[in-house]
Amino acid sequence: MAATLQITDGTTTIDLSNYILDYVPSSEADDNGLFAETCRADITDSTLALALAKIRSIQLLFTRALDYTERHIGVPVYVKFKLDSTETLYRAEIKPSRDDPKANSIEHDEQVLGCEIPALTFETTIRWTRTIGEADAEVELPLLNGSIAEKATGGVVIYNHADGTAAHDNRVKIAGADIGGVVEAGCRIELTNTYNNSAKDRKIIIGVDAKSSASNFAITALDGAIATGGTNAADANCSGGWKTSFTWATSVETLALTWTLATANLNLFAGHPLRVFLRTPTSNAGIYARMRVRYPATSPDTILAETNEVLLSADELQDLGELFFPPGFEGLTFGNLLDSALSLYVRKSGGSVLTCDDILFMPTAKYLELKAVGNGIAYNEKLLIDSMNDYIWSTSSGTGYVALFQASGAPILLRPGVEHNLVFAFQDDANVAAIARTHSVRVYYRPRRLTL
Amino acid sequence: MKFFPHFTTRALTLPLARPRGKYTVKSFSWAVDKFGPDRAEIDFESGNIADAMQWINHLRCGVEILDERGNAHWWGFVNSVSIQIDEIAIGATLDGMGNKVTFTYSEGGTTKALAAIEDTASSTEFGKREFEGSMSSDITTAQATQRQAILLDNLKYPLMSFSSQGGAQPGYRVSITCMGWGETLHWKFYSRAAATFSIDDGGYGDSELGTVHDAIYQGFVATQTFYADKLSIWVGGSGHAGDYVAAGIAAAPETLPPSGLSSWTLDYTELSHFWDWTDVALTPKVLLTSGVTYYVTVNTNLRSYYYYKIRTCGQIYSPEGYYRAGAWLPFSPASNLMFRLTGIVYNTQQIADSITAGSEFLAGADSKVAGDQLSAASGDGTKKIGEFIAEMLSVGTVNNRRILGTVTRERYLRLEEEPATAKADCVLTMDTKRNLYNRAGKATIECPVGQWVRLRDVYMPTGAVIDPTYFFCERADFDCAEGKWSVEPRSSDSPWMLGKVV
Repeated sequence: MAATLQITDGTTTIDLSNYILDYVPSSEADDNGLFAETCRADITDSTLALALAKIRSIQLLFTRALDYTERHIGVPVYVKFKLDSTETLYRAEIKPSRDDPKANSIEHDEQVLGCEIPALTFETTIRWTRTIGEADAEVELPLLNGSIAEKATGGVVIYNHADGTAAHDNRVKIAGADIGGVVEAGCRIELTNTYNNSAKDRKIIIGVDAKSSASNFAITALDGAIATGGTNAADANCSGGWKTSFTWATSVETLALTWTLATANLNLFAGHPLRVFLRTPTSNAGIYARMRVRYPATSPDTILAETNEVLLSADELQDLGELFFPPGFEGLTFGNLLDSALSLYVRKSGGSVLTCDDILFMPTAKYLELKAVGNGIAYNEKLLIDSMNDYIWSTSSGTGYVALFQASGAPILLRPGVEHNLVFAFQDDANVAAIARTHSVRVYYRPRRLTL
Repeated sequence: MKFFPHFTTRALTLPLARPRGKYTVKSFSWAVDKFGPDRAEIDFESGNIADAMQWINHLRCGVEILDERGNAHWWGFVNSVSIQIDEIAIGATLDGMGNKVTFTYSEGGTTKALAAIEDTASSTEFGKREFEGSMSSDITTAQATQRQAILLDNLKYPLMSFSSQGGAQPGYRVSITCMGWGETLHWKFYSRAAATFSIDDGGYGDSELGTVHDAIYQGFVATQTFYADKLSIWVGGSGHAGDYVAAGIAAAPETLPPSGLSSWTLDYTELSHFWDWTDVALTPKVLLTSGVTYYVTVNTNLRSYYYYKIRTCGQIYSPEGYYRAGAWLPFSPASNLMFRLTGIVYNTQQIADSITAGSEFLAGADSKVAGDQLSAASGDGTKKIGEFIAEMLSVGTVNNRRILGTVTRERYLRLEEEPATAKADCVLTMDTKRNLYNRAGKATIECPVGQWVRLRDVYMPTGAVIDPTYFFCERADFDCAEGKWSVEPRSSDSPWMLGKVV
């Protein structure tokens, strides 16, 4: 067995592999989520000075780790370990605390300096507190959607809509078997704008579904043209080539459009909290809207769930709120649900006209909404959403980066062994959510584990 | 459930490029009397002093608190920040700031007021916040002016704070205190014109009704929206049994009373021989909408040897005209029929008007109230907008229920009638562990403020005048670490905090 054990800040690396007497990786975190570990090692070199230099380097690395932990000065310091050559090298950040200096220290036996034949070895006990471990090298995850036959790395195309055309998919799927580790792991989603248009990405929504090893999440949109209540019209700027409009003339809340949620649909939704978005090719500004799930599907008389009323703006992409499916059985993958109705209600003083392309469903197992503080992501530019390092960067060249986006929502973390569906929606700097807007998606991650 | 703050710039349109570090939402609260979102506490932690100090520059930026699934639970603005650097804490707050200062004083025993002075650099940045300065001692105008200038200088920017405290920890910590937008309704005073429209100035003449004119109309464009409930015209003269004079409001000039929107009719015994304002109630009341043209019309059945005189004045508005011998003609020389309309306004309309006229940050009002009440337009400039609105809301509806005003995420004040007591159909229930449930029995973090809540663990064995197993939630504070609401029923301190293990 040739174990590897290193302490490094990326520049200075002290390799303890050949000196280890004993090291037992810890599996139990303290209240702060840190793992206290001890390693005994005989540190030696060709001269006493060189051996001592190694010890001083470790002391210096602990000081640097404290600087970074407390004040973000410098770079993180890691302990890296793999049991043998068949294993992947894992790393964990060392997180010292000023309150307990001994917890991150190196203690060595006393050497009598000045002896004629000094010993060249220090018996040391090295202690550190570390975070959860993560793979030292990033892994690109293979993705699958309707645009390709088999899962692949290197970039998968997504559209800003999903309709009957197989390639027009607004999501990518990550197979559960491809996500390793034992705890949730951060990832980096790279979105390259491949829509050859001067309008830039200004608002990006990412909804993640992660339910089981083989998720049944399949529906990401319901076309407005299949709803009852509206008047349909052909529109090349709408998914499926159709839109629907509803006109009313009263000031009170009015039922506008209704979709039937058949048992098959409800089964696909089951267990998935979803944010509902209205996509429109025309501004609906000034209209209050809400969604309701009603029962039964025909002549419904009971409200099972509803969103709060929201005031629509001129955005083509409108967040109508969150619904749990199945209503009343939140979180359960409860099958064979009875048909229900999904209805859109509207209100505006004196009435108005509401236009709908489709209703988008964004899963919210993890959910992130990104808005540009200005500028945006132009054609061929790339946005990097990195929950491993907690950064959101954009780049045009691939070498220079700028922080243009602010996020609201939770960091996107991947669950080991669970299938993930990442659903995307985009809006540009003119509040337009063009259905032809395309992106190339790549996802990288570092699997994480408790015991290094 | 985890909560995340989302900040916007002071223009409230773009996200704020916020300092990097760890943000922790500690708590947020809602209250009926604060117009919904009341207060939120957010901690920011950074290893970098420059990032921490940036927060001084972000006062009055917008804030939304969202959960990990994108649902917004609270919204408002950054009201104050306190930055802990080792053993000291420095900070800044909008509390007490005043970038527009009025001043009242006494000079020679006479109470006087100076015109307001304003620091536009501050009000452009933070919004207009009015401060009323005064001095009771007898001083000169010059001294008062000096004092007013000093007040503006001292108060025009956010006020600084400093404190010394122990327990220093590594890193830099910022306590960010946020207030709901309803707080800004207390930043400015509010006054509004009475609900009237008059043409009663510009020199006087007269026009005979009966012998010269059979009918007269006067057009005008309403300058505010209100219900006209009284129409006055200046009339007097000589009549005969069976004669009458009728006056009204119409949407078209040639629609004579009793046709039209509303009118009154007085017979000759009710009309004075002497010219005077004749004030008569209009039944029904007429809704006049700002910007719309209406017509005051007057006619009579007087025989030619009897007449009434209608006072006119110099022409300010047109069109106007008279009817004689089968034709409508303009007055010559051009002049206006003198009239006064007074009225009342729906309380929700008054609230909407106050927001339109004076709110810095609210976009308007959205009323869903049925059964609103009409009252005389008020707002004399002595109250802040928020105080005025609170009074209007407290008047309630014809159903003897308050109106609730809630600032929505889009910064509209939504007006709704307080829900009726409905024991069997409460919107929310709560167990004695303060876990909140919706109607489907599922645990929820939905805000209970403005809703009826029933205690599901408590059984009320017999009927009683009051039933304490349900209550109307007046205020609630959400502890993010604990994940629970502390609720305050109407007219009560919070009994639900009693016995809580802290």
